[in-house]
Amino acid sequence: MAIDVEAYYRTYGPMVLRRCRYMLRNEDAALDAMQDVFVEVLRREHDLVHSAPSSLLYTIATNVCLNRLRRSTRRPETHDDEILQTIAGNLGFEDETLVNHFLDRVFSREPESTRAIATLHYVDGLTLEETAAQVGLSVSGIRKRLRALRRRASGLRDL
Amino acid sequence: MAKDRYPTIIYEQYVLGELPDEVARELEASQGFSQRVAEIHRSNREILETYPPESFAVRIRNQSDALAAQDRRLLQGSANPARRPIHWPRLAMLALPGAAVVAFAVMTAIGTFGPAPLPGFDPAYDQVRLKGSEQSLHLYRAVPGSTTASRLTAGAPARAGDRLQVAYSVAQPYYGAVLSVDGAGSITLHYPVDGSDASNLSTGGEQTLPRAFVLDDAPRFELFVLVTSPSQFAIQPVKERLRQLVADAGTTIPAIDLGDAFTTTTFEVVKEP
Repeated sequence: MAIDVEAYYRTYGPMVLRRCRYMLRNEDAALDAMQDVFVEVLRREHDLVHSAPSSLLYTIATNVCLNRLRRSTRRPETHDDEILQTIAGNLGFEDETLVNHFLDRVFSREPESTRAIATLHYVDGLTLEETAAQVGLSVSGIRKRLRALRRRASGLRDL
Repeated sequence: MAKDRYPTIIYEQYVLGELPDEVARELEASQGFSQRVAEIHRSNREILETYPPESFAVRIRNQSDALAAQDRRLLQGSANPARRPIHWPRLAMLALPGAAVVAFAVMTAIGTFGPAPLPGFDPAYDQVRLKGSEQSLHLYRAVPGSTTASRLTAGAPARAGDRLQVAYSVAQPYYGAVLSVDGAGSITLHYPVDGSDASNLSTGGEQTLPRAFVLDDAPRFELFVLVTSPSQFAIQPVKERLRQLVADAGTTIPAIDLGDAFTTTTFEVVKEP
């Protein structure tokens, strides 16, 4: 569907910016991320459906912010921050390379969307059912993804 | 029945009118509902006043148009890229052990080979800070049966069955992708592992890709390509352009020219029978 950017931003921009502010804790970075989200939506405009695009925008915003967190040098300030940066693959530790190496191995066989799923469930506190509704997967699909993620992380920790 | 706590997205979707009726009624009955909804409405007004839709829409359109133009330039490419013949004697010289191969510390393997990175790479090896648009590719090789890897120089020989580990270094946290083309014309995406767009690259020394790569029996060469750009880009047009360059080059190693929008770095591995 063709998108009226101004109308779309008027409707969904505030939600997207709040999401980016929450995840990035920096106004400039959040604004840049919000812009990236809408650009991404424009690139997918022909694949979009009319009903309830908020889930898609929220998930794209989550992915965009995780990617930005991954390359940021900001130290986590809160527990949620720490979890987010862990999922993003950036803990800012001195042995960052090893941490990234570990997380890359955790996520390497998982689709990109698994990071967003992990964020929605573990950070935002969505139930399995709510997470499934947001990302458009079945509950069993979400459960399977998270189970595989936990198994992989647990296995690597034992090395 | 209303829950004690609802995630933020549920409130957002309520305000947007995109929540199923049943969930909306439950939410309305939950504690603190009115306050949360009022807070979202207040925040909406604040955001739209601070960042007006008229001006922000222009920013979004401009960036989107720039990316689309970049994709078009990439698809068009250069008219007739120069072919670069393989200089076998030069490559052979480069491959001489002890002359050009950098000595590399061998680390103990931490597990069996699989899709995970090879042991043997040393993240501390290349901690020299890169400047400006500098970027580089690094390769490590483990021969079948070995549990350690050694660093390769460009043009080094390798055989089918060798396991290669790719790493990159970049000066700027640009967007990027790592692909390879082989002598049979096949193109393989190594990074990002999945997804249709380039990933954010990490600075600060060598970044090892999450998966190692087993060389197949394609003839002549495997050419690894690091493609970077300050802006996000789609990978498919890059693959299409590479496919075209490989076809144009015939039996020679293709010169990689993706246009001004990208910076590319290549690393050749010469296939031995």
